Amino acid sequence: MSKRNIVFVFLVVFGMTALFVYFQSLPSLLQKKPMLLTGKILTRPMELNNFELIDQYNQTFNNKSLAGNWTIIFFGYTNCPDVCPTTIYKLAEIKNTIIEDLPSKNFNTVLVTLDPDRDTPERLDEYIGYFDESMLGVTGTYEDIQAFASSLSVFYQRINKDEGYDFNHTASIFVFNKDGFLFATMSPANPVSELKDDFYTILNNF
Amino acid sequence: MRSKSLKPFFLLALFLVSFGHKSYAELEVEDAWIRSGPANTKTFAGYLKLKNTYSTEISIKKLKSSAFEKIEIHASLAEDGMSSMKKLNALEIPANSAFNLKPGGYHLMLMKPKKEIKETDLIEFIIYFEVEGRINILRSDAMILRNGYE
Repeated sequence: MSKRNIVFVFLVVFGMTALFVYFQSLPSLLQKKPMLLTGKILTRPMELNNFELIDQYNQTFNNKSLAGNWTIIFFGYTNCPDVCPTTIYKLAEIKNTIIEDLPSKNFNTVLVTLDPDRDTPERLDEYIGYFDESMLGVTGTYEDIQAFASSLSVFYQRINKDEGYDFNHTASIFVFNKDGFLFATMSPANPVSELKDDFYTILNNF
Repeated sequence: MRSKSLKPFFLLALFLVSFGHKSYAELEVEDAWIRSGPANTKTFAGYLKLKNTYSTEISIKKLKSSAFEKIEIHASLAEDGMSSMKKLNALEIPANSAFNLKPGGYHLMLMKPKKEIKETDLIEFIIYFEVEGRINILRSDAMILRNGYE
């Protein structure tokens, strides 16, 4: 084997080893995203299936509605007197603080109802208008809500009671980036201070 | 003779001391509030701080208010990533302990208001609780309407 060939083989082996190491370490490089206190950032932002819902102003709410701004989506229903208003107030406080601190990083908050029978656009307007006017309330047909929920792995179950009914449902809130891709999930039961820290972590780093 | 004349004063002193010191146990309620809601709200969530100063466990059996048709005790649960609500038949508070009903946890469900409730109203309510097999009653008229998450 000539000296030239040896150099060639060496270069090929070296190049392949370098590529191998690079791709091996790629996942861990990607995982060097900041950690959240109340949830997690997805390894790779996830694009959603197409969806078509309607907000309290009778305007279409679809994939395009998520583009351009950070968006937080959570699921609930207006006949829920404890957890839903608590989450709305927590998110409103976080949003107000961030709007003051980071005016360039505005984000939207959206409640998607699991109860389209009772939560019409009018009812959502009444309810959301009372708690936080800047929030969007979204409803749709039973099938469209179910499809949207399942694209985010949200489970829900109607629980009939003596009077009326409630829902058991996945508790997470979902954070979408400016491309409208699912970016992170968080648990809203955590203290406002920790949720706020996590939003700062996301908005300051991405 | 001398000791006899002082006896009424001793008795009076004893009476005043026992009256001034809280030597009896009770259920205490503080900071009772209902979260305000939009017009036509049928069910409100209520919160309060309870303190059991008895040396035994007590059990809250029932609440009543002239402002609502029905009050239930519920717990919002967040288990395994799922959010759910559970109705309780009674709420036990251990001896000498405090228990807070607060947003996102244990709370009252106040159903079907009998009239419109205003922010300036003081809402009366009654708590029926069991201590060693006997039902006691606590009355309060200090529940207010406000908003917030804590």
